[in-house]
Amino acid sequence: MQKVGENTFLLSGRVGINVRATVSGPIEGTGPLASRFDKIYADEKCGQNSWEMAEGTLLGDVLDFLLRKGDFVNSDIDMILSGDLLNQCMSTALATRDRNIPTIGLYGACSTMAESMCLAAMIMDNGGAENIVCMTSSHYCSAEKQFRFPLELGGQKPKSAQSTVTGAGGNILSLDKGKTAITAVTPGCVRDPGVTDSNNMGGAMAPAAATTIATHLRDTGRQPNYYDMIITGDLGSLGMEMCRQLTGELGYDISGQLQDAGTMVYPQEETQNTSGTSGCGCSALVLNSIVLDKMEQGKLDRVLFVGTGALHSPALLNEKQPIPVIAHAVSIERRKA
Amino acid sequence: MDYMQYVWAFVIGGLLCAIGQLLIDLTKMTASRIMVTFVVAGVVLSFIGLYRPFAEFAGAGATVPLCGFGHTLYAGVSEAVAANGLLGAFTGGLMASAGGIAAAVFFGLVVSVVASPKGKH
Amino acid sequence: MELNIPKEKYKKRADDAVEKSDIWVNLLKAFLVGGIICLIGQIITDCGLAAGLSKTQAGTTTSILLILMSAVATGFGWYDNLGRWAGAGSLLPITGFANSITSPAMEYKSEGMVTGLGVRMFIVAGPVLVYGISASIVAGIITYIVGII
Repeated sequence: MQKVGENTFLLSGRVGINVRATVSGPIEGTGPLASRFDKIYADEKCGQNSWEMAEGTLLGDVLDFLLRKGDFVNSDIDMILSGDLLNQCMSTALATRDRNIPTIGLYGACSTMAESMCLAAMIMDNGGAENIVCMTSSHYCSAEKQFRFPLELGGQKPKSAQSTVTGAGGNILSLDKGKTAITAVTPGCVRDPGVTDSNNMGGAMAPAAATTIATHLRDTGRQPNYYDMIITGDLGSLGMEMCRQLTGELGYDISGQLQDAGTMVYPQEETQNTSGTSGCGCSALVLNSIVLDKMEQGKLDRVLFVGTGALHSPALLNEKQPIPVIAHAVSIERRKA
Repeated sequence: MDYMQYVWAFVIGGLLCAIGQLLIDLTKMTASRIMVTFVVAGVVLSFIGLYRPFAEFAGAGATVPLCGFGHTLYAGVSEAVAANGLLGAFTGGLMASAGGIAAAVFFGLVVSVVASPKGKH
Repeated sequence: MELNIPKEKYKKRADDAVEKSDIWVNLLKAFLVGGIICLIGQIITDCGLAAGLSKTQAGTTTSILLILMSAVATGFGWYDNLGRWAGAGSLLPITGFANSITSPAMEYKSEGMVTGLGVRMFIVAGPVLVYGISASIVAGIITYIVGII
């Protein structure tokens, strides 16, 4: 591993994405990615009694799928890096309890998928660990309950608002395995662009995404067209456009490469009055289904995955503080045969 | 029966809600803040003597919105102060509004024992 | 690498990027739904008066029945859909107050009847009672003082 430029670490390319899994809720299960998910729950409670337990079930299922797909037993896994949106990383604790696998809980809000992959890749590239699980989850109902209002409270949401994805996704990074490899990571800095509107997370997060993307490109000396796709985690349609403009102002025109996971998860009719979807599960579902599918099929060679997170807390917002934001970039490339 | 009473109830009630909507859209006030604003406004308007004639004119159009709740609170207080002096300032408001508050608590409890939140759809 | 945009300027830019909801449509919806709820209230009041209730009794009965209707609609999962459409039209009538008590009670039932439902019932409506009652007490004290002067 070698540090280049301001914030980027170049990796040897030995760390590969070995297996991956996705589990979604009912609405996501009627969206354009549905056929690529491993499991779709028809019931938002996932057979549990509470939203928190439901989200823990989604994440636990992802872990089960990952171990089964890779034919791993618990002792093959060096550690789990996992996080979610709920207080005290509730879902992570629920999904990993009694697994007998070392677990490190992460909080990066909706950037958690990229955060966990950044960390795991850097740990493994230095040798020692062979298999690390990276995973995360979110749930519309548990997130509404914790961050906003009770579900049955009648109220309006502006068009800039995004819906939290109900779903979980993850992958197992393994040394020298998998068709795709992580070749560089750029951990992001926490930004405070001054936005206080909790219904405009995309607009708040766009500066974090733009600076991380531009930093990555400058550090590596790459042009945007080095990548077939630059995919942000959950900026939504509004935030994606702002990110495109801001990255342009930083000297990189990413119009041809930029896509956003927040515009891909829901069926069309669900997104008409919103800016798209958000949540840890948003980028986790998209990366671990369609993006890596296409890479493994050879339809995409190089992808810059930029997980975006609004480090939003109701307490800080009530204390009139703007929303801190962050974005981490993971460069993924298809291995040459 | 005077059908104009229904017209005024509809129009005035609707207008009060439209004022609230204007506050939501222009100031981004949260639900709790708007509700507090309306109740306190009702207390103040009732205190300066404007709400009673307004309620007589608009009927339910003035009493059903939350500023009507504020009016009920102050109307109760002012009657109780007249009857019992200073003690009335503390007893009158809740006595006059007890029916509504008790009903909201009780029905809220009964409904939530039976029903659970429905999720996104 | 940092953006060289002052926070105030960026905040404005992000706020301006938000597609404004159509304010006239919102006002019309709030007016219609708020008006209809008040109209239902007027009908109940008149029925009460016709049945021989006093004016105060009829008013209280109206409140209780509207609250009952709202609580039931909340339980069936209808009131939040109405609120999404009507905004302040369903928030500001007394039915919105009942919805704001019933919805957190339902939401937090999973955390226990006392520690969840009971404790959280007033997380939205609490301030209405706190400031409404306090304002009426202050007004009552002033009324008393003015009365003895």
